[in-house]
Amino acid sequence: MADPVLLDIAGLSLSLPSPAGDLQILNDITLRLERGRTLGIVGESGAGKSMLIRAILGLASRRARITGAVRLDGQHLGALRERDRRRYLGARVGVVFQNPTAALNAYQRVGPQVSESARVHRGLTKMQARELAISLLDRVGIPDAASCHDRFPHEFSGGMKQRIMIASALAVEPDLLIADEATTALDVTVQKEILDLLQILQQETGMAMIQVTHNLGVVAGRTDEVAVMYGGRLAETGPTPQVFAAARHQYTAQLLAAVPSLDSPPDRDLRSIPGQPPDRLIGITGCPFAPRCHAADAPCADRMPVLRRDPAGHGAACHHPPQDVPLPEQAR
Amino acid sequence: MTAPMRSYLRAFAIRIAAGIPVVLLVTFLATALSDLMPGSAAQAILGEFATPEQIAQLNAAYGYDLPAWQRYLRWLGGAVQGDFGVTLYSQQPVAEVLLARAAVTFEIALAAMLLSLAIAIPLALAMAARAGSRIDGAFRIAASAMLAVPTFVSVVVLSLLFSITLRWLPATGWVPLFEDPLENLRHIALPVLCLSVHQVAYFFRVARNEFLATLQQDFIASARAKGFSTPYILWRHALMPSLPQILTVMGLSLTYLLGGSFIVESFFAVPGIGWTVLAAVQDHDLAMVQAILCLTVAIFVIVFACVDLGYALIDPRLEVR
Repeated sequence: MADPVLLDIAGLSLSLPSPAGDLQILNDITLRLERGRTLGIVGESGAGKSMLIRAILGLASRRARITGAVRLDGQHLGALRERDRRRYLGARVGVVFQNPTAALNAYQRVGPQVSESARVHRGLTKMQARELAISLLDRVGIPDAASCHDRFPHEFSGGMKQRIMIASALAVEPDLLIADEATTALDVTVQKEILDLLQILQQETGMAMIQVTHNLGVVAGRTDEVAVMYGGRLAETGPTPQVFAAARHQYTAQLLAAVPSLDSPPDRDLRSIPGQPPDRLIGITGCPFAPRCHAADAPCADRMPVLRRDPAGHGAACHHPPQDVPLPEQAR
Repeated sequence: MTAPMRSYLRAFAIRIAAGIPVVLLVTFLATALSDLMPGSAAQAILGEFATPEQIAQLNAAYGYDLPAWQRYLRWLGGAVQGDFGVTLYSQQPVAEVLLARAAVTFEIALAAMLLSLAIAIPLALAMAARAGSRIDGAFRIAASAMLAVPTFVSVVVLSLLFSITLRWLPATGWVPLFEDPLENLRHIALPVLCLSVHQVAYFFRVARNEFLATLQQDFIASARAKGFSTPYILWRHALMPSLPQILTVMGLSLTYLLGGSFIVESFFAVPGIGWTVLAAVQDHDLAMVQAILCLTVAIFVIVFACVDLGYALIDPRLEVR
């Protein structure tokens, strides 16, 4: 029996040198994803979600200093030569990006784009590639896939383009599909269709999935695990139902409280977290959320809380979790 | 003939037709402006000791004394039938002479264009992939330096190097392509090199920046995420989307090159358009000047019609109309 752990991120840190000092983009990220499971990574813009994905894929800037280890299927990616890592990942990981209009090459027909990675990594012939592309297009719900093979991206709607992107990510039958804000640029109704499609495909193929998003609704019913990021750090992580039911980090609690509910009185203001996320990630020794946190005291600003997980894998890096210091009542 | 083919041809014809008024306007202005040239054609032909009677006689014979619009209509009447008059001294048909000269210039222009593109485009791709590196910086400085060198300097330096010092290439002269292709190649080498100095630098700068912009696009990120190699991504994904911009500057360059470079052609004694127009202006050979102008404007119209259609061929989002 193969190791159930597919992706193992251990103590991953990433810093970028800058004139003002090293920017700590990612700080000691430790995460695990088992085969066939779904991990949601949530956080505001600048929390480090996309950089985490880039670091996993080996696409971070050449100037970036990376420590820690990323293992996919037991293979330590940092130990591979760049060319080998590229091929290893290209054949095992599919990625779907945010904006399908920009993520598809407008100058090439969609069919060849869908089958491209299988052509490159598996050496498919032209005929095989065509068959594969048509079957994938069909699978992601493109009507009349055979005739769509030779059309150009601009002939499709945004939702259709995202389906095409998903088809292209599936071409190598990946063990892991990364959806990096894959539904953010789409209409709400189309968002649901795409999320449903991803879920169905995951059930059919048994691949693991990472949903990167700033939308808690995407994470809620559709992920097994969730990782909440803030300021380049893991604020909280654990099984999704537990995190949503009993958040252990003030940031998570605030985020969840900010989600408007249909039950809340219509005249109530939407709840928000005061302040801005940190923009200069230099020389922060304490909790990055401290400046915005109602529960923060002096030690919070000095000392980074340690993330400890319970046996279920639920843990948060917070000195004063919401269990000790409840959220303030909302002002009317 | 396929339907898209027909629509391309139709679009091309429309663009050429739209250029006709431009050709008419420019040639008319040229006729009118020749009145402002110092000296007169008759004076130039008859020499400085000609009597006023002789001049008047010659003016009447050639129609030089007619108002500009009448001269223009005369010229136009001939031009539409392919008759552009005769040259002033040798009395040969202008069209025949100019066609031979144009062939020379076109050969040099196309060779310079191909050479420049063959050097600049791969280099620009390679440097865009290493943007910001030291070697990229070195090439950018070199390109700026090459653009700053005036043609009259590069002709001297290159001929000093290749024909005087190394004695590899003939300094001047011309052998037609079909007479002796090898000698022809040796003779066009220096003019082509001189013209390419600017072209290479120009194409490199434009193409590098365009490739760099393309490489920031999301579809390049998705190609990288699929684990493709950098050379593969450059050729398969970055080249095509960058071409429209490059095509635009190719069009501009081509009109400049096809018009013939006075400096290069006269320095190397190459009988092309640039060399001919210089002689024609000095000689007051109005028929020749007019024909060259007409040809130059026609080249502009045709090249830009081709560029326009090129966009549509490259970018599937554009439709020809």
